[in-house]
Amino acid sequence: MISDILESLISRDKPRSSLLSVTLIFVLCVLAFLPFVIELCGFHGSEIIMKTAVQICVFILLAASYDILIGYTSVISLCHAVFFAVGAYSVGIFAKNSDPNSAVFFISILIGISISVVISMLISLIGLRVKHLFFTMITFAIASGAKSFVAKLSKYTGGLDGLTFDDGLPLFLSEKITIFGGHSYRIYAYYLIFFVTIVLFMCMLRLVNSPFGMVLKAIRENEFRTSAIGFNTNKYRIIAICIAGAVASIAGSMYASWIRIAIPNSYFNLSIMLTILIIVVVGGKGTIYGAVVGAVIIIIMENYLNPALEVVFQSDFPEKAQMIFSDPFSILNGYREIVPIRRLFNQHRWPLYVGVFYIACVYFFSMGIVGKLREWALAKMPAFSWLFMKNKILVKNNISKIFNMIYKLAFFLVFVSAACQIITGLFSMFDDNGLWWILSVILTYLVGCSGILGGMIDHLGRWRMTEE
Amino acid sequence: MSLHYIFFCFLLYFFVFVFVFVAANVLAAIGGSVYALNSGTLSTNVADDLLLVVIVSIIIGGVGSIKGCLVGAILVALTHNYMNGIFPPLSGAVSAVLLMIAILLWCPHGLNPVASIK
Repeated sequence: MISDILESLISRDKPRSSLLSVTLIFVLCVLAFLPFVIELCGFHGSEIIMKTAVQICVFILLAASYDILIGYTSVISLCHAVFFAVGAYSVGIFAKNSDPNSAVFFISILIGISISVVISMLISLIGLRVKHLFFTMITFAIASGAKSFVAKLSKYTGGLDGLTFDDGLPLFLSEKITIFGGHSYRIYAYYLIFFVTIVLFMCMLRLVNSPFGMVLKAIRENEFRTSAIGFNTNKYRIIAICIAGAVASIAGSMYASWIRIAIPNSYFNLSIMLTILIIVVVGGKGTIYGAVVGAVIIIIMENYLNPALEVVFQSDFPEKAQMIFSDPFSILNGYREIVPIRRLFNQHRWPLYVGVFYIACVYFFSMGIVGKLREWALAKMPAFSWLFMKNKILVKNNISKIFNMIYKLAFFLVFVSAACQIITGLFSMFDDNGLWWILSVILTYLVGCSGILGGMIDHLGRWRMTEE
Repeated sequence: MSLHYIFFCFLLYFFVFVFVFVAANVLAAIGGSVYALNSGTLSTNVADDLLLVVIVSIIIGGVGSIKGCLVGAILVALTHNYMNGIFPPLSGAVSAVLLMIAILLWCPHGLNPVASIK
């Protein structure tokens, strides 16, 4: 009975992997009791933790709705952040010009949804006359145009400086409650965002597992056949884009009600769009659960990698790593000043590690983390045993286990070193050491080329296998 | 399909790829120097808004057509510069996007469609 209810809540689309379901339940529990967890465990920086949690909720919504487009319908749109901004600005403009009032707040959310549905309808009517790359370019142009349009309408939107609307939001969103005699939290605002996320997430699960979702998947697999069966594919595409736009606009309203500011740079920026795209790719295309896994990993990384590296940089580990170049038995002895290993652990290098993580994800989890977990569960493999196993594709190619491991490791190292070279090379431009600068440029070029070559070999190898 | 064949294929592929990329970048660099001669001032973010204009003029002209690029660039540059005098709120990047929308409603594959876009 209870399991039946639970299954119908997630629309009978089970995680299909025990590790994945444990992760999801853990994330759900932590997000549901976050203020209490912070107080009980005595974490520092409660404001930052709450902001991270809200960002995770908002990006779960954004990534899940973007997954309906990119993973289920295979429509690659680059103007998803525009709908996010529409929701935020509709809340912002109404809150700026009115007294604190709950009705105005909820009406402004509804108005944001309707505006974004209209905009997405227009975009899809214009853009869907053409397909694929062309559509992507058109949506990119529309996104850039929307940003400059909002910056130009400074009378209503505050221009590039943005809007602040601390006073206009309803009072229950700013009410702070002290928990266990410790810090005070905006409980109502947090739980509003949390429950909206949960409800919309379940709605989207329902959507993709409904007959409508089946048609979307059919469009992804073979559009011509789907239209031959008798479905109006453009109609289904337009509806999918509208639904994704509406969800993104709700996410924007929620985020604006938490950070209480609407600036073009924090909503319209291409980096927001790329974050959504990366969350979907890292988490797993074509699974709504992928949005949760990807959002948790990437938002935590963006918020906490910088302070974590600061701790590492202030310990003596970077100096120890640099000592390799002073060891008399090392062939690298004497190159201490040329190769600045210790600089790699500076906290300003954190984008380097993020980039390495993305590349590693694309290499090792080509179907995303959720896809890989499901693959393991299907093969009844224990998690992380892949490091010691033969790759199925390469086994057919008669390449040995050890070579396969080296193969993977080599590509990994190639890309790592490429990124390292670029960053350290650029950084040491400001030094007097001209030799290192020239060397790093040459090395960057060579390593980058070998990375491309390696990628092509890999690609051709796989292609050959599928042909056989 | 021997290993040699694959190696040869990818060498060919690689060199064509490199050649096209290098040629495009050289042309872009020439464009940059002409732009610098004209504007007289330079900063690190000169090219920030340029990508939009480039993409819009390619789309207007039709992907895969050099003649179309010429027409598209002329149209985009004219609207970009003269919209400010006609209706200031729609000047700049917005005018380029509106022009693109107007032209795509008229002919969805651009003014001079060459490549069959799928």
